[in-house]
Amino acid sequence: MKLYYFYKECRKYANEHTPDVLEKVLKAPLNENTENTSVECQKRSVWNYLLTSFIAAAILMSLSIIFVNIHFWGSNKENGIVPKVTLSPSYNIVYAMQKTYDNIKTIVIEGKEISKNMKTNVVLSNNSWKEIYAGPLNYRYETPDFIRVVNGDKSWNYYKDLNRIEIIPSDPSGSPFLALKSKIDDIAKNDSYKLVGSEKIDGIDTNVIEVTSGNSKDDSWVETYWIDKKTNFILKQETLHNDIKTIIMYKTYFASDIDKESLKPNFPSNVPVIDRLTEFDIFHSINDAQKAINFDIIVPDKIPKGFKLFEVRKYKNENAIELDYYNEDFTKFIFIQEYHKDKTTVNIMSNLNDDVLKQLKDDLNK
Amino acid sequence: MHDEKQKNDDEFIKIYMKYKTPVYFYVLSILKDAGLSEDIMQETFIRVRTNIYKYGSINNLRTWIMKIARNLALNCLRDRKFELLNYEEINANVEKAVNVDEFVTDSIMINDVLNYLSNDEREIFSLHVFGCYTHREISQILNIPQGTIRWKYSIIKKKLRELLKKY
Repeated sequence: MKLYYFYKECRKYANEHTPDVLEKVLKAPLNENTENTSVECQKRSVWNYLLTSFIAAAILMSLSIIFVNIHFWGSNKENGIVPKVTLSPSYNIVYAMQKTYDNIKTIVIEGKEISKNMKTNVVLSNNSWKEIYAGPLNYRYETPDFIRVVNGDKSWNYYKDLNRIEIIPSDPSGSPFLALKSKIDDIAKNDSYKLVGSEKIDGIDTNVIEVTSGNSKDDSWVETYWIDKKTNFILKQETLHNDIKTIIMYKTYFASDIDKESLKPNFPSNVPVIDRLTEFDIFHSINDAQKAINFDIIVPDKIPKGFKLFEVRKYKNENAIELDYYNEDFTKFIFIQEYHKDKTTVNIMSNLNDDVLKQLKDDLNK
Repeated sequence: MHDEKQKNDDEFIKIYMKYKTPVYFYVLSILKDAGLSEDIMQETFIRVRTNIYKYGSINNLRTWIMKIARNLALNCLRDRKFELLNYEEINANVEKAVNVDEFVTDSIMINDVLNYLSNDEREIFSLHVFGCYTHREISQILNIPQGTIRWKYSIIKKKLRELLKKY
């Protein structure tokens, strides 16, 4: 049985066998404070909107003064003195951090991640990893039981627990460094952040930035970043959502001269190798892909600005393809998977924010 | 006041109809007990309904609901007196024990195939297949890096393809 049909079978089974608890839920008593909270929510939304607009206007004005040299009304124009405008400390820190990561070509980064339920004190996950990065298609990612080496158009994935190596088409989305860069861009562009203090971590002076994202009190993430004052690298990241706290400690090394051997797939020779590249046909343009397949590829009219087609993957044994788009620095991706059979199904995977994705989904649905 | 309540209930019912299947089967993938899963599903939606009126936007409703379901299911698992010092240790222990806590559905094929997956693979599978969650959303729900979700999902697909050859 094909995977696609198995998924269909699972979904059909699930829809037919889900118990119904609606009546019991509707009968359960509500918290008293829920009455009229939708009105309170609207008031909060209006206030948030006004506050955000004010902050945006203030930043725009400040930038205009710096770059366009617009004088304040009432400034002393006679002797040409223009009042200096200083951007907030937190903006400078985040901006400097973003620029630092943007300028990196090669780097070695280690992460230790622990996730814990603060109410029950249960440790939910405990991972460590290391990445040697020399480019979006040239990196090595390693955990205690897995190694991935991406080199050009191939990715070698060594599953130590399965004692198997698989070769698949390469792609940048598996790089933790690029995922971190993507996160930093999101902080700089979208989220609200503030400087909450300074701390020493392992003897290193850091600025502590707190970032809040989400749409309501019950669905907000609070992320705290400890940023090395000298290098602008993140040393520690803490995320709190509901009762779950995740802490990631980073160690980052400049690596202007990376050992090239570490970016080669030098794995034990006695481990079986499975070449999965043969399961795909890879194309670098939609026209080439369309010529080779017997169904019409659904292509979105409007791809977000700055994105380009990276490749088209056709799964050989199925009527399915994937269109992979990336932005310029490979920190953001959009994968559009299409299954064509009796019915056409389109699935989108992306690390873009929901607003942009919604526009893309609406466009594809047309 | 009554109209406001009715409007909120109507909105909640729409949300319930949309998410009841993904929530139930996701919790079932953790607990592997149909009765307990139904209880947790009920508790999840009670909490959703209680808090839905405070929710200003539905942008992250999808992941929020599943996080509630996950936390309740994990708490329930703890209350069943497993030694839960480390959830991943429990994954490993349960994997080694053969034919213990088999996945509970009426479909032999689905049971057969899903029993082959490890606990965290089953979570990712159920979120993706029953809930149509993206890898990004799954990484937010499970607090695992997105890259990890992607390669774990590729392992799941490979395992399933192998097993499905006999059907």
